[in-house]
Amino acid sequence: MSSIVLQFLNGLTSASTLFLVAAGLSLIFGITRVLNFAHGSLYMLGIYLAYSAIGVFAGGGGVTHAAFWGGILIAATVVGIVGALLEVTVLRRVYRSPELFQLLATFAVVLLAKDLVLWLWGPEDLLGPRAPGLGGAVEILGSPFPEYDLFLIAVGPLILGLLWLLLHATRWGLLIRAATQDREMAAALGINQKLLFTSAFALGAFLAGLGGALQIPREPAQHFLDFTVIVDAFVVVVVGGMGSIPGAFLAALLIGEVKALCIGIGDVGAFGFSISLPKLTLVVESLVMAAVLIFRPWGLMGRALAVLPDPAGARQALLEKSTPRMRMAGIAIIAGLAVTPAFANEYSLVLIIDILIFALFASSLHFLMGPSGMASFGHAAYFGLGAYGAALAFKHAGFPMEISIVIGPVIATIAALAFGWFCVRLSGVYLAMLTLAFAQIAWSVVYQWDSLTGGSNGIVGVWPAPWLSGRVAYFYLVLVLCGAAIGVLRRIVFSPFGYALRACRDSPLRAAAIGIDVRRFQWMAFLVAGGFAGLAGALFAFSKGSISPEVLAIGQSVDGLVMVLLGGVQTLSGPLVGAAVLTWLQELVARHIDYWRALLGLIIIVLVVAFPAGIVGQLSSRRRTAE
Amino acid sequence: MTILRVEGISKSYSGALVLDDLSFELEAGEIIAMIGPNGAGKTTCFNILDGQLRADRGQVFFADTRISSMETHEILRLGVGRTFQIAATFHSFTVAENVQIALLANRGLLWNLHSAARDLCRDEAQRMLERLGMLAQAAQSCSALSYGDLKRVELAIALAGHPRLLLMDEPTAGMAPRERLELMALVARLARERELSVLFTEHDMDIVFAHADRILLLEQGRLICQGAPAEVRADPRARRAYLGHDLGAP
Repeated sequence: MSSIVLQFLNGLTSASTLFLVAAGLSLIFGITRVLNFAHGSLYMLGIYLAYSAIGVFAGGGGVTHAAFWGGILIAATVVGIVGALLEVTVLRRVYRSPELFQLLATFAVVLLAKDLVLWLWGPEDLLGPRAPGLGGAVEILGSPFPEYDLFLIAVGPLILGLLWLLLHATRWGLLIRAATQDREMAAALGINQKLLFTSAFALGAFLAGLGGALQIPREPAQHFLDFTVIVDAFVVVVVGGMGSIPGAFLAALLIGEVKALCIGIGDVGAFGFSISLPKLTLVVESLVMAAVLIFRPWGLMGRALAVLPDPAGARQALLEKSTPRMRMAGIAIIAGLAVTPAFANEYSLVLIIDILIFALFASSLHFLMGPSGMASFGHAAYFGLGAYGAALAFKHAGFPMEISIVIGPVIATIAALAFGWFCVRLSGVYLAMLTLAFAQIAWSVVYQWDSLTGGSNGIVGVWPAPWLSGRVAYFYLVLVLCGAAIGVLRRIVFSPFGYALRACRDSPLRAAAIGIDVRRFQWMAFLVAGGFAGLAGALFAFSKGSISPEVLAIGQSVDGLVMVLLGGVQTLSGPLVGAAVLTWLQELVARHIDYWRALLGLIIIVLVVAFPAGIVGQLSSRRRTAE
Repeated sequence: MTILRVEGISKSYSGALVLDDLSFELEAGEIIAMIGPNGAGKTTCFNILDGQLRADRGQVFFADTRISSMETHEILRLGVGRTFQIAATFHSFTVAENVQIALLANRGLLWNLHSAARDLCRDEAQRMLERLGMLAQAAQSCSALSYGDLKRVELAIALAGHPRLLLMDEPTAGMAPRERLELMALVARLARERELSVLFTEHDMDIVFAHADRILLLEQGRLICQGAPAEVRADPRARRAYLGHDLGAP
């Protein structure tokens, strides 16, 4: 009994922190409609800054009240200022770009922040001081419970109350609420949007920084907190309803308690399996989110988002039809690749194999995001399940490599069938978050199912059949299969099926009004995209000889997104160029520069600001204007 | 033959009654105008007819098939065409492709993953556009059209499915006066040729009285009078509710 109560209190503690981060994220989204991927980084920055600020204030002596609380406040304020700078220098330039580009820009900030933290504070975990006066524990039902955690439990509702006052009792709050409801109308009334956006961003960042800083007595500052926190915060915001602060509070409570309960219950035995719930918190969290989204598509307290008018330049252009010159270029590239092994060294061959595989992966994601109009943040699920499907068929079921490479995509297709059925019931950001949730579930299952998947070690010894074991032979296999698959995808885009998908994207209303079953077509789009991503995954597994859960981690999904967006969503050759550029950059830069992520982040920001339609998109529109 | 039978449909949004026990029928080949002030429930009625909304009470039959619990795409496949108050087209396609997609959808040919869609149903789409006087714009992108032309493309899309019933929500809204008359004259001509029934809402009374065989007048969700144009024109309730006195004088 007492352990349940304690877990309940633990749940409240983590709910408070979750709420601080999610409230900021929700506030920013509500008004700017930018889903800020960098919000987890702001949280992380908060915890590191608090560590240093308290250290400086304490000056080697004991940590006084002033040093501790002053440090936390300074840390949160600095993060708030960083947020404001971020808005002014980067985001303000991309408000008129397509939604996904804004996401890419914030992701670039994630990369920058990560390297900044590594550079300033190093890779070691940093343990902060205890809070003076709150370092002890109180006894609750016979068990000790940290005083500081009790304090944190109170912080959540306190901040909720302050935010409510700010939003409902001040002029600024009135403007924020007005702009959240109808940005166009607010602008038409002559509200200074720039100032409003910057201040909302600063406040959101401040809250994230505060959430991070307040954690310093409880957990060490770690350089991977950004991703863990952002996923949690996304889940909370989506469950609560985008843009709703009370919703975020409710959802934070729900998620916090669900997680705490998983840890409290511990291992559960059923059907001869032993399931360790504490390890599956992420799965359970994602399941809660999936359940909420299916029954309340706009979250617990959200409402349908007002559709923003198409920003200039985001209008879907007609898809490029291949001109004779382009077709010649395509043939030339394939011919060039076919003779590459004659003069390329081992290293470049490996790089080209990677590029080809990721070009297929990116093309399959593009199929979903471009023609089908469904942004997937969890496309790595299909890539990874394809890889694991093939590897398991080969290692555990003993199938030959040639058959295993088919089984991988089949597994991925089955997963797409299951995940897609739920996803197509939502749209926009909500759909994207649900794909992310499913990917996280897939990742957790693979990561935890030690006996089957080898857990974090992955599976080794996944080698191609003897006749394909040479580097050159495998290169040709990849060239033929990826080339054919990309060709098929391209053909599908121009087929009646592809037209139907684009029609559903352009106007679901009109599509239904000519008798198209919109959801069904979109569901099948998931199937196609999942299957081809699975093929890429299977080829990847055999090219590396081993796989780890990394192949379906969020980083892999984000790589796919970056490839597609770098190349340009509106073009078919975009994802190919994006895959080549990103894979090559990662190889090249990671090899020679320590802080390659920061460089990549900078490159992305420059590209996003300078080429809002992606590399290929920009080139082709420039060509059009020239003609 | 009765093509559409609406039996006592009601609908309320958060307590406010938008449609109150509405019943009417539409015969094959008939052109009916549904008129009434803004907020009378016309668009809600249309959205119930095409399955986007569910009525709280009542039933709708299309040629004896009960459609009031069917999905939009199922209803539209039965032979119902629809245009919207704000024209909805596929803006990333050309005008001709818009019509081609509708033709392909009508024939169940969209589950084809290998043919080039551009070459399918091409001639038929061209013929359809010719009828509507849009042939010159066939190769243009829909996003480059004027609003009046867009409305015409939408009509072509709706007609591509060879519907027996056409639902048009304010077909001429946002068009220039001359375009309006031309468009409705065209619709009326097509309706006669194809034995097409048309139900449309309209605020332009010249168009309503010129083309409607019958008029339904809605006010606050209730059908307050119906009949031939001359009858409605003479009805004091219609004058009071909507038409005003000046229009009444012949």
